[in-house]
Amino acid sequence: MGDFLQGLSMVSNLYTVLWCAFGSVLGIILGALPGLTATMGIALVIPISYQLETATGIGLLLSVYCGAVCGASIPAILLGIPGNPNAIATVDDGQKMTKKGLAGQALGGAVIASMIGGIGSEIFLIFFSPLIAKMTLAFGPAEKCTLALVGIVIIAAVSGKDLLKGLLMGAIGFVFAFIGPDPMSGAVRIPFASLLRKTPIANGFDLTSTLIGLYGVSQVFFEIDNLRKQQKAEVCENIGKVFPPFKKVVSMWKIILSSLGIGTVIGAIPGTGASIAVFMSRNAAESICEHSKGKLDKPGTGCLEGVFAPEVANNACTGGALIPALSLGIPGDSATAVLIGALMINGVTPGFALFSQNMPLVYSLFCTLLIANVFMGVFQLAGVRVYPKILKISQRVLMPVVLILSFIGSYAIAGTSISKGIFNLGTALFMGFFGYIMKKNDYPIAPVVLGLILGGMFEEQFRRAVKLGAGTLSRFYTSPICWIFILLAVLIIVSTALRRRKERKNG
Amino acid sequence: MKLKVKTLPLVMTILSGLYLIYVISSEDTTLVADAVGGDPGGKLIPSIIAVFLFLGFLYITIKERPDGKKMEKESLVLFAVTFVLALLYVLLTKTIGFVILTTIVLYTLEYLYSTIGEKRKPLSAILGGVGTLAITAIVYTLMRLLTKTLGRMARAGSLPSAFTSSTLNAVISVVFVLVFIILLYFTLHKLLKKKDLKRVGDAGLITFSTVLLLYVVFKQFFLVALAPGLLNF
Repeated sequence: MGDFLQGLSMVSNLYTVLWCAFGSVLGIILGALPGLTATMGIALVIPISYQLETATGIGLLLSVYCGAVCGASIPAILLGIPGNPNAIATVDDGQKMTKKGLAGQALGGAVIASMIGGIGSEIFLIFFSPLIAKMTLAFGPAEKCTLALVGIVIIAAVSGKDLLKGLLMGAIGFVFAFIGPDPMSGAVRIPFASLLRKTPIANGFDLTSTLIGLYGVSQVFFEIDNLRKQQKAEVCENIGKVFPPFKKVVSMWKIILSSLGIGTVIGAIPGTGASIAVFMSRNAAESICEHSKGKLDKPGTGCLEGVFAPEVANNACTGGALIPALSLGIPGDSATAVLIGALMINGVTPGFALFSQNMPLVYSLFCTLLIANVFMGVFQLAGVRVYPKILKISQRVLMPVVLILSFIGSYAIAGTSISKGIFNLGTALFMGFFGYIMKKNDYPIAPVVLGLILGGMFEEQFRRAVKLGAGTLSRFYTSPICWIFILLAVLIIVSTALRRRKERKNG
Repeated sequence: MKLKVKTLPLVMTILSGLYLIYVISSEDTTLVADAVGGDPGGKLIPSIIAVFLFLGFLYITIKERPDGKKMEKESLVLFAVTFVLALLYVLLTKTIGFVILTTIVLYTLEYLYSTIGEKRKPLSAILGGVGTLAITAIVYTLMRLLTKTLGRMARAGSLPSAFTSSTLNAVISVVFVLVFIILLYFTLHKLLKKKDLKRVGDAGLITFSTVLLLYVVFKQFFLVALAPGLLNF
């Protein structure tokens, strides 16, 4: 109880509340604008979060994350274009409701559903993450090393269309992580060491600048090609009544519960993600509606049921995805991969140590997540008539501002050191160019981030395990947990390869 | 027969090969004070990764063929301009300073992006740029003078000591900048009626607002040492 009160006191101040409010609004706007993603939003606010108290900074990051997931429903409903893949399943019914003149109810329904999903899944997060974290007590160096391997394999499998390309990008992330001091001996490992030993590169790549470069700068370069094609979309401004009838919402309790369960479980399984959960929940809703004896409308007909099911599920995924992310440090998608990086930059290393040594911070994180979910709902409802206007902002205007924001963000993380700031600018530009080239050639960039985050840990734990095994790999093959992780990695590789092969065969 | 290969995997194969050579030829970083022994050394994992990268990219080089997709000329030019400006930003920030350089880069990009597919008028664009730079520099100077004077007066006892706080100075600066943004918005709205001039005005206003607000947030709220460059107080 003492830990909880301490955690609560870390966030119960106006400062935190205001930053969470700012994060929610920013997240909603980022989620609403096609071309800007939740991942990019998290990367861009890292430098700000770094300047704040740890709990407040985490609150800001979580608010952007939740806001962006919810905000994606706005263009899905009003334009028929999802702000990000999480809102794909909302498009069908959302657009049909807009055409029927029920845009307000669709938007309002999406917000209420998102709040239910977000807060509901947080209960699971609060209950399960300490339990899973406790399991990691049994982990030694060999287990931690294989866990890092599983993390890389998962992110390689979920991002992009080609598993090999994902794995190669993860390996490039490892290479970036190896630049800098040797994790065991501290010796500098950089090319042209005699020349570069006294430059900031001797300490390795700055994680914040790398994240900002990969997700901010590269996105600007990537969108240049689309700016020519851009056309002004017709946005429905006749929103109408916002709140859906209360009775209607209550009558959908089965859909809400099934979507909440699906979203949380799918979100918690690394390597699946919200884009799967939304379609599963929609299918489940269809089946519930079929057996409702006409009390509920069938998704696909332009009804609230078709908006509620995916919106509960995609926000439930946020809480679900945080379970492995916080307890094991394994992300489910690119947004949580960047979130883990952001937490580490803010001095929070996911895993058992966090739960055993800094429980007040964990409680403060849960509290800010709750605040983030409430604010997400409040601000999206409050601004429901304003957001259609935001959709009119051209990417041609936004992209140069995003580029400058990316640069100043990577510079700012250096604080008072101008030369380090300049080095960070260079890192952001290099990573931006690298990310752009890779994305252009269908190579996913999320594995690079995870490779960079986990590379150091992987090497250090591997060397420790071999050293403990007196120069052999005995620590690996005598540990059942290692076997489970290795089998899991193999299973993911084989199943992904088979699935992709089947997809290619089916065209 | 001419064999066509994709450039990226080929380049990555070569880079992976070079990385492998570097790893193998680099100094050993094994733990020196290792009484027990057993440390496989700092070369093992990087070597395995290098071999994997080399073989993986080689496989893709052999397997994939170019799809013939090319960037449109205007997009290519825009990309090149954006990249060069970004590179100049990195190289010149320390010398020229945050305010001036950000204004130049942001204005140029805002103008170029907003006029994609339209006939550009270089003279009005350049004049607009010079005007934006001048207004931004003047307002920035006035803002700094104001906060510095208030701080000095507070230290001398003519004003409450709260005026020495950086947060209050930042709040004053935000209000100051917002007043100018509103004034500029209405002035430009009234003066610029032609489409091409409106584009210049919009680019200038966005640049002015972004540069000064970012300056206040990062320099005055978060105390980040933004390079002063030419506008050094």
